[in-house]
Amino acid sequence: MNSFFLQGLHHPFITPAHLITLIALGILLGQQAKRNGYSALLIFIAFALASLVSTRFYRTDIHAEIMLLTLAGSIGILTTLKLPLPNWVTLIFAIIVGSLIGIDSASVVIPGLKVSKIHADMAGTFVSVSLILLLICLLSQFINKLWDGITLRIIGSWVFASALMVLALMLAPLGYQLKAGQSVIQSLTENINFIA
Amino acid sequence: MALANNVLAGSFHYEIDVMTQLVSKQKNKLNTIQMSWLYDEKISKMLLQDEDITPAKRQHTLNTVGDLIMTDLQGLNYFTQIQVNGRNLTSVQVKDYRIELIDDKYLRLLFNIPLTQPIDMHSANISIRLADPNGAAMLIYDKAERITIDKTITAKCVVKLINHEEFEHGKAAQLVDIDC
Repeated sequence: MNSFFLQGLHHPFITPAHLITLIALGILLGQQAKRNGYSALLIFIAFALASLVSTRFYRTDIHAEIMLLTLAGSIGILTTLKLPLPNWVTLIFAIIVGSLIGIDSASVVIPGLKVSKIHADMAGTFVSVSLILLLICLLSQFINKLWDGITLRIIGSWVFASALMVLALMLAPLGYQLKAGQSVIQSLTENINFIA
Repeated sequence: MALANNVLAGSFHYEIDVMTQLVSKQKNKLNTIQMSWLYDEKISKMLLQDEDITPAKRQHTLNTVGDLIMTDLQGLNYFTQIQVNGRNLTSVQVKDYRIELIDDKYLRLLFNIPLTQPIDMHSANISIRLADPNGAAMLIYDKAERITIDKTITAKCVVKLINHEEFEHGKAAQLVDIDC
């Protein structure tokens, strides 16, 4: 059982879209007032848990990783601009990111695999994503106090660039190019369907 | 094929090396389809992870894993779609199965899919498609010789194994076409 829990802990580190989005959300929350940051953190934990549990009963085919990377890029820009954001904006980001990470961490159905092992794996993932977000949030709160928060804004721009790079690599698995008479949207849709 | 080690990873895949025998108990009648599935090392290890496979408990553990696999597979129609002359065969619960561990690395599952009624093999066309609807398992026949027919079936049958170079997620990678 322990090995499955450890595998779960490992999960966000082998899923770039999850890690980048957690970093993005963590630095955004670290940039906000402490109280707002912590309430968004709790909301994230609640939604990540609920959506992870929901995958045992319902599965969806949404392109969660693409959505997460798009969100990570947007959050990266917001962090770089350091705009004063109302509390509800960070809460909405926390809800969406938590839900998408939970949904995208659905366990694979393997006939014969004990339910307890699947639950151990899911518990590992849940603990891992929650701790990563908490640590990044705490670290960002500290960094935000240095040099008027410039360092955090630079990290925000790196997150934006990283999200864009991973997104580009995901959308071009075999060399992305437009076919004759094909619009960018049609081509992107084709690539997204291919990835799915 | 890139193989991930985490059961939560979206791109998780594993391989099952398949052998099939068409079993006949009456002349020229097909009664049972016998399957032999050899699981790859990674998934065998995963299914046996944290389980007691010491000599004293080994068989008991394997039987428990086998029971779990067969219970789960029943809901997934044993990953098997069989058509006779273009008509789908209805699934019947598999009761005859056993599981073994080969070289302490690979799980092999042997089971018999009973047919509701015997099929006359004269002029019959049987197609078999094996696919995991969740897209994780890749069930593969290495070559057409992996599909064998009992000698009591005297009708001349031609076995063709058609590999699909591209196939949708959760669909069969191969088609077994048996023309008698």
